[in-house]
Amino acid sequence: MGSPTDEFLMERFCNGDESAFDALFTRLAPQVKGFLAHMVRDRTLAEDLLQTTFMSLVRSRDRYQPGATVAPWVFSIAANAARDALRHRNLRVEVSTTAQADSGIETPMGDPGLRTALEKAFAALPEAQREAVLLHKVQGLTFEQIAEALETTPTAVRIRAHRGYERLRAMLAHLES
Amino acid sequence: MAKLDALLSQQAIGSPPSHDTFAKVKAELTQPRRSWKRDARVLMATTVTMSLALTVVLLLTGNSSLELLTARLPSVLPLMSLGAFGTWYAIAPQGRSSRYRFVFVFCVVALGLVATRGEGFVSTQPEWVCTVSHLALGTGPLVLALLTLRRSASNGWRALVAGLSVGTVGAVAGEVGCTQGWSHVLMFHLTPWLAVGLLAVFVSRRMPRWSFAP
Repeated sequence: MGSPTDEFLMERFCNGDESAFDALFTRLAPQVKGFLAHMVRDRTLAEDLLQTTFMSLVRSRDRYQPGATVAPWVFSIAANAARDALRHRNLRVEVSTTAQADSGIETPMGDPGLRTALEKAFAALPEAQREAVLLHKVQGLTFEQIAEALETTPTAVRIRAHRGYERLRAMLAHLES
Repeated sequence: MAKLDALLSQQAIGSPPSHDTFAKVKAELTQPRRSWKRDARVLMATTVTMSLALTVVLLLTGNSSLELLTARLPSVLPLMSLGAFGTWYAIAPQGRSSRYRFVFVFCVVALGLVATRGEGFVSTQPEWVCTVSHLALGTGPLVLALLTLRRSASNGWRALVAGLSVGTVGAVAGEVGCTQGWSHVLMFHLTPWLAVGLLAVFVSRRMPRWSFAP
């Protein structure tokens, strides 16, 4: 028997099963934290926003539409929280060599030079493009799912992701050779 | 490109969340649940009840008449419907296209108010009294709408629809209690109505959120 789907767990949680929430948190929190770390590039803020994201999920669980895919919904909450934090705290994501040490992006990959180069490239992307690339290329959501989550059109998401990806490629061209 | 794709796919997982985060989120589970439908019904009932109550007050105080009310029913009823449906669409988690349609219907209704008013009568009161009344009547429901909007992520369209919906209270009062002409409606009724909508967008965007769910 396979593990229950996110949607099954979410519906059980909405019906009052707290253990389903624990399973959802365990499954989704690391991915959401990875997304937030790339969005805000601040370890402490990413952890705070992870908490905000799941608190929002708990508080607004009745806003979840039964049958809808859970991951895009949770990423939309995280994206909203990240955008709000960036706007209110007036954080400027800049390409900075000193900021890399505490960016909070901890991935299992080995080459630190490669990782730093990618972090710098991500930081140089406009917020909307970074969001689209992270959700599509990194988290594997479809354009339709991202569009639903961000309340825009699939075409707009496709354009943002494509432009962001092309900029990343251009900035990281030296890695390809 | 393959190398970049591989690199990106390795970025999916962040560091494990802290136990403290999990504990704080779990503690939130002990709080009572809130339903968006209940919030929407409260806002809808407030808007419609205020419109009806104002109509009664204007009739009882002699600031309107049954004759005028009957003549204005074709504009008053759409205004009340606009307020009721708009508050629901502003709060509901789904219905993005409904919010766009609401704004279109608002434009049609607003133009209808101007087009059907005619030349009207000269009033002894200064014209700005209507504007001030419109803004004052919209304040209470606007505060309630803003507090309700805090329960979901910041969204300009939601805020605009909520503001225009609660602004129908002032618009109904303007229809029932004002006999001045179309240019007065355009300048002194529609302007504050639109202002309430834009104020909702401005304030909502700056308010701290209780939830970031769409």
